Order: sequence, then structure tokens, then C-alpha cells
Amino acid sequence: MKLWNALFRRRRGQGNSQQRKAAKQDGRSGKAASRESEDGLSEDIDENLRTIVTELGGSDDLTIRKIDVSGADSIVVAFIYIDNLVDSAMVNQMLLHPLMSEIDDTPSGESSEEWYRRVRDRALAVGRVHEMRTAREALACILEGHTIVFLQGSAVALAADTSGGDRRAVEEPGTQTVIRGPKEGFTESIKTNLSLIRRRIKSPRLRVERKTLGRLTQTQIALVYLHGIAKASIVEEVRRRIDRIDTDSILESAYIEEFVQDAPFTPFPTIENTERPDAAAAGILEGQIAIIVDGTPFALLAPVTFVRFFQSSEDYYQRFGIASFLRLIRYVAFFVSMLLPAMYIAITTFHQEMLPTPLLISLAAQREGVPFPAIVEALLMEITFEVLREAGVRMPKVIGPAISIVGALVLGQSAVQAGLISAAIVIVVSFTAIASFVIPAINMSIAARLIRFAMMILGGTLGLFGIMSGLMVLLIHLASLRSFGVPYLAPLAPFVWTNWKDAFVRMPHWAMKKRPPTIADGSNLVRQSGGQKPKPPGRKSKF
Amino acid sequence: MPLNPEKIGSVQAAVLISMAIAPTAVIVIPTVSIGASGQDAWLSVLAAWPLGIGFALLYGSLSRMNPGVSFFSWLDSRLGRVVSVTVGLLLAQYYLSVASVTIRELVNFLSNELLQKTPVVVLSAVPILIAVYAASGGIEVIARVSVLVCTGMIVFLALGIGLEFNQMQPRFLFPVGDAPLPRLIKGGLPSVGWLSEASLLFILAPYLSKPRRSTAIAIAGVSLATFLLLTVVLVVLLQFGPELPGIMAYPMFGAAEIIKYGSFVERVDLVFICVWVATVYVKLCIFVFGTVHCFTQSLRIKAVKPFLWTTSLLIFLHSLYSWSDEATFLHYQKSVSTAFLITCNVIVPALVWLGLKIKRRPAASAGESP
Repeated sequence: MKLWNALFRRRRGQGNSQQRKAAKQDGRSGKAASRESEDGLSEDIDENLRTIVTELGGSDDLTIRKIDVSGADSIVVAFIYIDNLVDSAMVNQMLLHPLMSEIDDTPSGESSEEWYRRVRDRALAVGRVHEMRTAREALACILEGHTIVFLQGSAVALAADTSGGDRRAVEEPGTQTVIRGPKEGFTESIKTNLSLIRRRIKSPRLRVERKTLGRLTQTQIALVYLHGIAKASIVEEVRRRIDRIDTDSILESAYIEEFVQDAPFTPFPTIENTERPDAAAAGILEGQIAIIVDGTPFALLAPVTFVRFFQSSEDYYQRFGIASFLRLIRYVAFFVSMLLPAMYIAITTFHQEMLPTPLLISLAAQREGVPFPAIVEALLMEITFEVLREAGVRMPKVIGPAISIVGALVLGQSAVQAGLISAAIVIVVSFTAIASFVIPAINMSIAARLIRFAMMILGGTLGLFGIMSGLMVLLIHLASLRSFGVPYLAPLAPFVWTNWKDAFVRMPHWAMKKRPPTIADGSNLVRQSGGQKPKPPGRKSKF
Repeated sequence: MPLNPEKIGSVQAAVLISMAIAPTAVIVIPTVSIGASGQDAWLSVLAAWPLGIGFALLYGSLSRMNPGVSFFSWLDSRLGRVVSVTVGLLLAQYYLSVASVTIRELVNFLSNELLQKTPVVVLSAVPILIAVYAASGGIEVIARVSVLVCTGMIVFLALGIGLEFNQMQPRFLFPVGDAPLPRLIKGGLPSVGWLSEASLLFILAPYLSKPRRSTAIAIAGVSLATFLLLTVVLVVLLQFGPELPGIMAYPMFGAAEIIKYGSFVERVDLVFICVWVATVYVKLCIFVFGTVHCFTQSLRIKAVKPFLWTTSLLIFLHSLYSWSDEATFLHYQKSVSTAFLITCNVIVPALVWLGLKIKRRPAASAGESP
């Protein structure tokens, strides 16, 4: 039964709409409201309900259930929660039903304090029940999906965690699919995501620190790390940077990433993100700190090094030989994605002598009649491809294939036949695009895409010298980057041998005895005991 | 550059020293040494090595005296302000001059071999801007980059030798010891001048994570540079013999130019040129850093950034206008460069060492922060 309309009929009748409008406003009124709600709760149940409803501006999704048992010992209890944020079945079965039974069993003459203790200890059949002493605390809990129980005569309210409502189920991650490996992905629920990690790391050393960010969104975030394996100094640094965030909204983990990353103007990601619980768990086991954000399936992992973006979780589920080979292919693909169009431009414009004569003749024949220089031709094709890619992402799925047909046939084949571009540039741009999809981390792939355009301009103006100069700038930039104090180019520069076992190739699991010392705590590097290389039974050494 | 708390490892420091020597030396030494000593040029280079070790011992012994303190602060405390400022400005001028020579060498090469139509101003501006960017990141960044580039250089050198192997003729090295001593000395003198650039250790000393290894670092740096020079001279000799390289402008790339396997692998010299360009960039970064370091540390200047830009502008202008044409530059390289290098890198440190021996005073407190 919704009573709040009845409760505030009188106030509405008095035309107090100005106050309601103010309460619906954002930041400014939010601050005023918080100041107001600093006051403790009243023993009068109606006053408490009035405060909450006023703070929420009389929002229609606010539900109040008031139980009033009249008689010699009048009992008044009120439940207040927001529809859709709570699990209604849980509210009915775990709160309402036990409370009604408790009311029936209540002896006459019981004091309000005894009644409060009885409800707190026996009547609320949910796991997490908190005591609320201020309206501000109560409001925060309501907005998180808790049900607040007010009792007449008690200045302390009870908040029962009944959060629920419609959430996406655990599904296969859309961005990081694997052939072999777990098919579970993070969801938008922080609780689900934490449970997915907990199920993988059943250690008492796994620490979860919850925080709330965003003045208006009140987004729940959680730092997850392994005590004794993650470096204490890095944990403290992550904590410090997160605590420094002062914003009104956090809607995705990218918001936090931009606030806490080391270099704000680099195209390279200095924080990893993943949709896979197994990848997050693996990172945590290596000493990384995961930042889980409510409302997004993308968890952040820090600190991170450059080579980490070329590792896929599947590398550890396939045999190490093929995993190593594929990893090397990814590095090659990264350079192809970044440099191939620029190399094409530089060689065809400045250094034709590098090409074998038959290839040079073939290319010259293709380019005969093309009205644009190589750089314009390549830039046109690259921009066209970027448009097609963006259209493919935004288009409704039903007409998605049409874009492919238009892209491949009209813009590719027809443009070549019309003599606008050469066939060679279509091959170059297509191969570059395919190569960019090989990189497992989309944010690293995006960095390569951006750098590609700069390299094309350098290649078109200064040839291979320009490309070399661009690469030097990149190298200097990468060498100067850090992720939470960890050198970005480690284990390359500075050279760290232990990390090489899982950098460019993936050694067998039994050979990777230690955790990466650049990330993990130096006092706890040993991952497993040595001498675990499998041997057939009964086989003796030949020496 | 402010002396930041970041430290560089011993391997990084040794590589930095060798990268301060090798990139420009590998271009000039084959022509000059083979021109003077013929097929015994490799002996000339090899003979320069003990002298290089001698320099390394001198630099190492001086650097070990001032662990954790900038060379100029230490000089100030031992020999007085006038000496420290004089030496500081002299070394700043030396680093500035070598940086300009490096740019000019690179620009001359690019204008002759690769980008004939590109304005020299553009070709000079690009490397100096990159060097400014690297120097602003500090010596640790330059050290990391230098290790990667040096590794790449060694890999490509090995690859080049492998590809050129079928064209090498050992008979070009014989008879051994045919050149008379004066020609051997003439052929080895440029190498000695270049190896003296190991004096970079004075600048690196306060950044070393293990300053006690200064001498070993200098010896390793000089040895690596000698090894690279020796390899290049041998490769050139084995391919072209004792006559041709003396009249070739860039015999090292000439050797790569004739690589040919089937109709697919040919004209790969451009790949080697790109690698060499990267090594020259590293050298330039080191010397731009050195110029600013000497200038700001000797004059105790705190605001480094403006001086980084102004000294870089000076280097840029110096490289553009100090030599009217290529012939003048070549004359400078052959006649003046070695004397200048030896004056700044050998005579000045030797005088400092002598001064210290004469005027013995208690050393600066070891715990002084840089």
C-alpha cells in the first residue's frame, strides 16, 4: 500500500511545489539536501518518512508500506524502498512476511526499544542489515536498493539489503571471445562481478575495498587485490588517486581511467580493461589491482605494461607453442597496422628503388591514370575505411551486411575500375584493417589507428626518414610512460629477465616459476615450486 | 636538466657511452682509417682500443671521487667556482659542438643519399626537435631508448654481415702488417678521438645506480664501441678491399647496397640507413642532454626548460651555418675534429686530475644530494 500520497496530501494542498522542484534539481540542491539531512532521525515515523520523501522530491517510484496495528499497544512500522531497485519477492518473503508473524507474537506492553531489538534480530530475514541514524544514510541506502524499516518510537532505522531488480545475466563477453576457456563475462552488477572473481580466487588474502564515487550517481566501485601479492605502495597509490576523484557522475570505468591514469595525453592505454573474470583474476594473481565499477561489465586492471596488451587469456589455455606463435603474430600485426600504409606511401613516393623491378613495374602500371599522389590516395582510403567501420558499429544489425557490400563492392572495386585509386592501395588498406583486429586489446588497436595517420603524413613528406623519426618519437614516448610508477616498456627497457618468460612468447606454466617483479610484491614472487616439468614415469636421465 | 632521483643501471650507462661514440664514427672511420692504413685499418682501430681503455681509467677514477654529486658541484668544492664554471662552459661548448656536427653529418647524408629535394632546414629541425623531446624526459628515458636502439643496431649489423657473407673476400686483408707505423697511427688517430667521447661518464656519474662501477662502465662502453667500429671496418675491407673505401663517401652503406638475393632481396641498404638514423638520434639526444646539463649545472641554473630550448636553437643554427659547404665540413672532420675531441676529452680532464693532485682538499660530503 502506497501511503505517501496520503501522507503528503496536506502539503501538496498547500501548494509547496517550489520545495519539490528544488528537491528535483541536481548538484546545488543536492548539497543543500545533504546539509539538511545531516540531522539525526526522529522517533516519529511520519516525520522520518516526510524527510525521505521530500529529499527524493516525491518521486513516483518511491514505495512506502506502512503497517499500523491499532489497539492497546499500537505498533507502527513503515517500509520504504524504490521500485525496480529492489527484489520485490525478497521484500515480501524476507521482510514483510516475517515481520507480520513477529507482530502476531509480540507480547503486550513491550517497550519500543525491545520491539526494535526484536525486529532487528529476528524479523528481518536478509543477510545484510545496517542501522541508520541519519536521514542521509537512509537515503543513500534507499538509492542503492535497500529497504529501510522505520519503527515508531525509535530514532534508528534498519536498512535491509534487498537490492535486485532486472539485471543482465552472466553471458559470454562480447569483446574478448575465446575458443577455449571460460565463457563467463562480467555484467553490469558489481555484486555479480565480485562474486565471479571470488569464485575464481578462494583465498582469504583477496581484499575488496568498496567506495562510492559520483556525487549524483553514487556509483559503487570496488578495489580488488591480493594482500601480500599486490605491492602495498601501488595499492596505496591507486587508493589515493581514486579518493582524489571529485565528480558528479561515474557512468563507466572509463571515467575512472581518465581520472587516475599516469599520462593524460598519450594515445597508449596505461590501464587495462577487461570484460573477462578469468583475465581479471589472472591479473590479480600477478599483483595487479582490479577496479570494478557498478553499471559496467568492464573492469580496470592496473598497473600494466605495454606487452600486456598483446596477451590474450586464451594464450594460457592453449599449448604454449601456438600461444607464443600467435603472440608474435600480434606484435607483427601491431606494426603492420601502424606502419603499412605509411611504408607504402614512402616507398612509392621516395624510395622506388627498394622494390624489386617486376613489382615496381606492376605498381607503376596500376597507378597509371590515378589522379592522386600516393599519400592522398592512401588517406582517402583510410578515411573511407574508418567511416565504414564507424557505420558498421552504429548501424542497426539488420542493415549491417549492406554496409559490407557497399564498402567492398562500391567503394573498393568500383573505385579501382573508375581509376580513382589503385588496386594496391585497396590491398594495403584491407590488410592494415585486418591486422588491427588481431590486437587483443581494443584500446591498443585504437592507439595504432591514430598513430597510423601521423605516420602516413610523415611517410608522405619525409619518406622512410620521416617514418624512422616518428618511430623514434614513439619509442621515446613509450620509454617515458609509467603506469602507477611501473615503467611501461618493462621488461624491455628496463630489462627484466623474469618477465621475458611471458612477454613475447609464453613459456609453459611449469617454467614460469615467478610472478613479474615489476608488478608483484618483491617479497612474494614465487608462484609455484620448481622441478614440475612433466616426465614419463620410469624415465631416467640420459646423462 | 635537473638531477632527478631516477637512476640508470650499469649496462644502460655502458650502452650510452658506446652510443655516444659509434653512430657517427661508423660513418667516418672506415673512410679515414682505410684511406690511411689500407688493409691494416682494422689494426689501427684495434690499436686505438688500449688508449680508449686508458681514457676510461682516467674518467672512471675522476667519477668515482664524486659519487652522487654532479661533476661541477664537486669541482666547485675541490678547485673553486672559477674552475668549475670554466670547465662547465668548456664542456657545454664541446657537447654543443658535437651535437651540431652530428646533425650536420646526418643532414649531409640525407641530402646526398635520400632526400635531395627536402630543404636542409627541415632535415635539421626534425632531429633537434626529437632530441629536445628526449632530453626533456631525462637521462633515464634516453638510456632506455639507447639500449633498445643499440640492440636493434647489433641485430641488423649481424643480419647485414649474414647477407653480405657471400660477397666477402678474406684475401683483401692480406698481407697483414704491411702498412708502416706512421700510417697505422694516422689511421688510428680518429678512432682515438672518438673513443675519448667516453668522457660522457662525467655527466652520467651522478645518475648511476652503482657509481663504484664507473671505471668498469667506461671500459665496457669503450670496448663495445671499438667492437662495433672494428666490425664495420672489417666488413667494408672484406667487401671492397683496401683501395676503394678511401674514396667512398659512405662505404658502410655501400656494403649493404650490393646485397642481392634472387630478384626479391635487393637494395636493402635503406633498411640499414634507417637503423643508423635511429642511432644518430640517440647520440644527438645524449649530446643535447649533455649540453644543457653542463650549462645549467655549472652555472647552477634551476629553470632548465628555457635553456633546453635555447641551447637546442643554438645547436640548430650552429649546424646550419658553421660550415658553408660540405667540403668545409669534411675538412673540419678530418683536420679539426680529432684535435678538438682530444682537447676537451683528454687534456681538460687530465688538467683537472693534475689540479686535484696538486691541491688536495677534503672531498665534498658523500651524502650531498645532487
